[in-house]
Amino acid sequence: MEIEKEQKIIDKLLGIEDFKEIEVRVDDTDLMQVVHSNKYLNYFDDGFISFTQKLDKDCGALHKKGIVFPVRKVEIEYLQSATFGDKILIHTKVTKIGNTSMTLSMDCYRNTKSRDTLLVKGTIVRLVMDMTNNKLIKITDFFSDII
Amino acid sequence: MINMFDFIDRILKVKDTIRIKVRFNDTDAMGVVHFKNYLVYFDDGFVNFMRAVENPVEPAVKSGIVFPVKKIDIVYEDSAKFGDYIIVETSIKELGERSMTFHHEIYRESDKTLLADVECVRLVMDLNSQKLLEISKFFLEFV
Repeated sequence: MEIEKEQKIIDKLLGIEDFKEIEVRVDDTDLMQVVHSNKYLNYFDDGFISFTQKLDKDCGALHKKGIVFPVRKVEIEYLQSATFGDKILIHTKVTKIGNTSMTLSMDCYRNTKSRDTLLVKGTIVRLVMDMTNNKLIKITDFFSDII
Repeated sequence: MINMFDFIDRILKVKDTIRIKVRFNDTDAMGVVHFKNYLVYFDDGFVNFMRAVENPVEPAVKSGIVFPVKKIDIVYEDSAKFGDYIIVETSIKELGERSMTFHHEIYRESDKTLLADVECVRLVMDLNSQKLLEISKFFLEFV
């Protein structure tokens, strides 16, 4: 692929933001009555799927073809707690495109009108992998049709 | 009276291990353990560690002392599958005034492959007063 085209894909990816709202389920919470630390990783999945839909990528259909998005690294900082009944807004943004990895920031807000309570600051590194040959796919190749 | 420095020195040397069998519903459509479930595994590692240092979590929780997670860094190196036994090795990397940083290494038992390397910062909070406890005081009260 031409360097110029690659750069256009990267620039487009870096400019995309997605907002996905989810509702906290009762079994997301633990005996402290707050959302358990591991549940935010499910929310990150929801945010990522919504992000890919924005780029006309259907994760379910891709999965059936053997294309998956393994997680390489997660960093989470927990700032505030959410509880049952809260609505959470996941703000997804690509922060870095590597050769075979993409880094996304996944910040979760309590979804009130002001959206001023940041609950969790997350960063996740994902790969794109073809399970039919167990090889990683270059990110710009995978997203080559978005421009 | 316990010497706090001796105690800290002692607790920093403790390395606890717990063995966990991967359940069917830990896995996802990729056929591997979903990445969120490693947080459940090292929760188990934390609980077992606290038991090993004679500071069990269960009675503390019953009296309103809880251990919120402040920060997690995980690097995923390989995947576990249904039927694997995994080993969680837990130690304390750092004791702050009001935080403790745990290091968890999660291995596949059969070939000792490192699956995930984790740093997890936990606090100690008294739900009755909604205040964070000093780590040294917490350990001294319970030891």
